[in-house]
Amino acid sequence: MAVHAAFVGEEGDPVEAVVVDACASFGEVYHREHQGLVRLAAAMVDDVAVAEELVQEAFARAHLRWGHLENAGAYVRAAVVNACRSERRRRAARRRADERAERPRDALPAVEPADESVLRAVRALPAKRRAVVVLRFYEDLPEAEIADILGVRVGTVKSTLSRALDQLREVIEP
Amino acid sequence: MSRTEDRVRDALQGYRAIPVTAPEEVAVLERAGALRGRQRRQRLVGAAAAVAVLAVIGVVAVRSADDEGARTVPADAAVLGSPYYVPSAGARLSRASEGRLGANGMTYAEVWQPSGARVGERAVRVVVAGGGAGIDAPNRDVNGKPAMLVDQGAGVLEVRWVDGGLLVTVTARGLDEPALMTVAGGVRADAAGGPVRMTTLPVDWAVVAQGPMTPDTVAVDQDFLLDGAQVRLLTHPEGAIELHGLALMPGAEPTTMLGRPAVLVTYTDADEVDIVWVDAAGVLVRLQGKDKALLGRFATGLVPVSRSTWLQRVTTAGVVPSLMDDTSPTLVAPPSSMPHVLDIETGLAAPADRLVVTASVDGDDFCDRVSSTSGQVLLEGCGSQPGALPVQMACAGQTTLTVDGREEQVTILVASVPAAPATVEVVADDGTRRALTAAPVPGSAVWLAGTVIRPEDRTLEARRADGMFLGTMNLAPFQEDVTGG
Repeated sequence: MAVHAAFVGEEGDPVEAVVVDACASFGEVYHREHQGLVRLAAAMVDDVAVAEELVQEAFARAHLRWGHLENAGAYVRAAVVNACRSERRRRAARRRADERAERPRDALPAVEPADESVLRAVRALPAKRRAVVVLRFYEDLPEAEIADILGVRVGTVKSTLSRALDQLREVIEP
Repeated sequence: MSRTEDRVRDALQGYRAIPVTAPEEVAVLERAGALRGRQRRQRLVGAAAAVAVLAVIGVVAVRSADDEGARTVPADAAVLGSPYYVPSAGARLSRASEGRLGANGMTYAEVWQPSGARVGERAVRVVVAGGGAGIDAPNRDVNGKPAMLVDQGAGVLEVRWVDGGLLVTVTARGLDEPALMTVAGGVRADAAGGPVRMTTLPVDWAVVAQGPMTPDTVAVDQDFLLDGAQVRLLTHPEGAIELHGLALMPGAEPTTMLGRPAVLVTYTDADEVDIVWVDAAGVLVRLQGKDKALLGRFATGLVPVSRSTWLQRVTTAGVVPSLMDDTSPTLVAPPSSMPHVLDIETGLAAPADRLVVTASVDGDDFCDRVSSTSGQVLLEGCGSQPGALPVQMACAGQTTLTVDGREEQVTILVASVPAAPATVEVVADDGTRRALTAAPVPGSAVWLAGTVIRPEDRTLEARRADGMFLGTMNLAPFQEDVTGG
């Protein structure tokens, strides 16, 4: 697959149009991972549009260093997860803005969970705990890989997951 | 595994059902290099003020070129107050548009798009940085399309996706003059992931000019074709840009007051073509989707008749089914035999007579005759108004009313507005408002609102039912023209 790249100068003016074929693997990874990453991001931020943006951004960043990545897929996934965590932190400000504008927040479309109470509990988790829960129970990743993605130790993942489950248990199985 | 873990795992599976459209082809467009000085400053401020740092990369997924015959998307940006935009043909990533607004200069909107992009392209990069809230997250508009919203304190910066086309609308308040900036750019796959229809392409919005334009300050930058409709992008040396939809009318080429060919898009897929005069010279063309009932109206140019007044020769078309099949792109005038009666509040404090104005819509001259209970009156001129969104045409004239037994000369304003804005209000110097009733003209796409203008009246404002600010019109020129000019 051809990947087209256009480079723009420092002031934003297009200086050269280039067609690059050497980055075909980027396109392959994009096709292979895109859908899953959007869904993963949606599971973390509850907004498909935001999820798409975050995934696009992650791919864009990955493309910058594409030739230097040992495991591009893992890199992009980690970037998405971290972007989702950052997104969660911005939520409070955005929510305030929405409230000022008197507009309802977006609802997540096309998700009809069997157990809404569980999802509500997951959504209420702090960003880091939610990331661990989603990676563990949605992505089925081992704790070591979760640790790699989040840039923490395995012990931290275990303790975070334990606390998250405790918190969920209080809501789900009071 | 515990029951809690099982339930969490099961619940999360719902996310696997989220429909995500995979692109058929991937294109990467990047802008390398440092941020511009202003952006650097914003970046420095950003840590403390949550100013979004402009992203420098966009990833664009492009559908197969074969999908839609590889029609070229018109370069389509329009910006207030910026010399940039420069979308041009060729496979380059261009700064499609950017704009800054707000007293503190911090509001910033930027649209990146690949020029020469193809139908079905999506994920054009939009960056919006706001000084205060710094919100740059996607939202959804009233139609459920992904959108972005920034509440900027003194101003409102709103980014809307319009049925596949990207529309950035900045409405600024707190400035010396109300301003509306509209940035059109970008194409996005529809909700089902299919290529956007041509009707959704961003030929549909343009910009309010900054200040008056004169013929020698307007230059043609480029033309492009879109499904038979010629679109012309004009730039102003001070940065204002107009996007004009020009007619491809066989044998008929009306001109604007600047002598430019003007108006009419014959657009086979469009249900609504809406043309608004912008400033002294601008024409704004808006196409909307099939769910809109109106087909459109078309205006045909301005003829200067005095230093500040133009006799607005407007041909106002009603529903023109022939345009739909593109077989007979002929302007159709509303039937002149259907005068429309407006009830206009006099606005006088005294027990006012209720002024009944008959606005004649006869195809050639819109609103050039106004009759009232006190007799026939000929309006000397019909003015176009700077920043007159969304008021499309307006006329003012004087007539005599009998108030408390004495005759009083009053100035009447009759303006056409987009169909059914929720409110049209006159705003006076002291901020007081009075609502006008806009009524439809039978057989046409025109809605009229009228009032008696008081000396203290300053602007006419229109809002949609949901409260969205549509635009404003400055009334001062009417008062000057009628009373002193």
